[in-house]
Amino acid sequence: MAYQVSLEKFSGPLDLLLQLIEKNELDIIEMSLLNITDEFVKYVETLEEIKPEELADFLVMAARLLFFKSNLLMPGLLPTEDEPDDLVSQLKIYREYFLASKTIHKIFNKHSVAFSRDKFPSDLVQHSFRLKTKITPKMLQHYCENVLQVVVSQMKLAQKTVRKVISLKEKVAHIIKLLTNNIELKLGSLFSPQSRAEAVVTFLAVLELVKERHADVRQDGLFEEIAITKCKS
Amino acid sequence: MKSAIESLLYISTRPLSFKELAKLTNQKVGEVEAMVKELVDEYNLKDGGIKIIQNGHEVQMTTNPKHTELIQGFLGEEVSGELTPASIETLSIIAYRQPISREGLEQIRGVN
Repeated sequence: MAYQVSLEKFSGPLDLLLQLIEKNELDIIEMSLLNITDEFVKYVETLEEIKPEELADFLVMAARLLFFKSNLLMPGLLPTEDEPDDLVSQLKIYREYFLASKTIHKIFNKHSVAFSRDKFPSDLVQHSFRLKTKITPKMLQHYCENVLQVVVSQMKLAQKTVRKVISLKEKVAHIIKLLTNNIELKLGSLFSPQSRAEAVVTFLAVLELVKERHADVRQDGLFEEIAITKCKS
Repeated sequence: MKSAIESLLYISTRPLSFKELAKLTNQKVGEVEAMVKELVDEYNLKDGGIKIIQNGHEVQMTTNPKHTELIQGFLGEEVSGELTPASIETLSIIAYRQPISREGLEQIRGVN
């Protein structure tokens, strides 16, 4: 008898066995196994496109069936094993799960899935809070104005700190102008006491003038006042 | 305390066991179990958007399975796809016999 079954339908040798039993309308009893052993072996012989490791499972089952059959036909001939190869009960257990899998397949195919959280959305954690005291719009306005005042005073502070520092170019021009009116300038008189930055600029301006040969500097002794004169050339 | 359990279930990203809930809420396991049962009934008897799934000693909040497609679209995840007879079989055995070792699984399926 030939069976129109494709290999993909089988998930293992027990599955094949079960299907053979059902095709023959047999119950899972020892006699049934006896009857279908040859069919099983024949079927295994026809298996071609099957992975070697899967084929091994089928071959093991075929061997078990043949052993089982020999034992039934010629009892006492083969040495009895310590543990009898209880294929019948194994098949019965398998059949329970096989039937269950049909139901599970049906449930699975409904695509009825309940979703659970799988991670914390980053904005979920501490997403919101509730105020215990009652807040009115007027109170919000009050607090908002308070905050604004702080901001405004800080802006004023910032304006104070950003002072205009005289540029090198302006300083150079200033010194040249002074030199045209005076024969000699004391360096100390050029520093304005308020600004350290301006003092640096003044010093740089003098150096610049010396370098450009617009002015000469002279110091009569250690720690004496530095005098600036116009270049004679 | 029931509301505490409800909040925990809501925020949790995994199933919580009675034991864990008892520890978190400082309650006896038996009390927690009773309160969870009330919650499970409350949520599952009405046709709401959230269900509580109980698996043995663990519970977890999930969406109503009725909205699979909607949620799937929102999450941008594809959960469909066919299973082979072998994987369905494996799934069934695990469903009924968990926890089960690979060895036990193969024994039932008659493969190695």
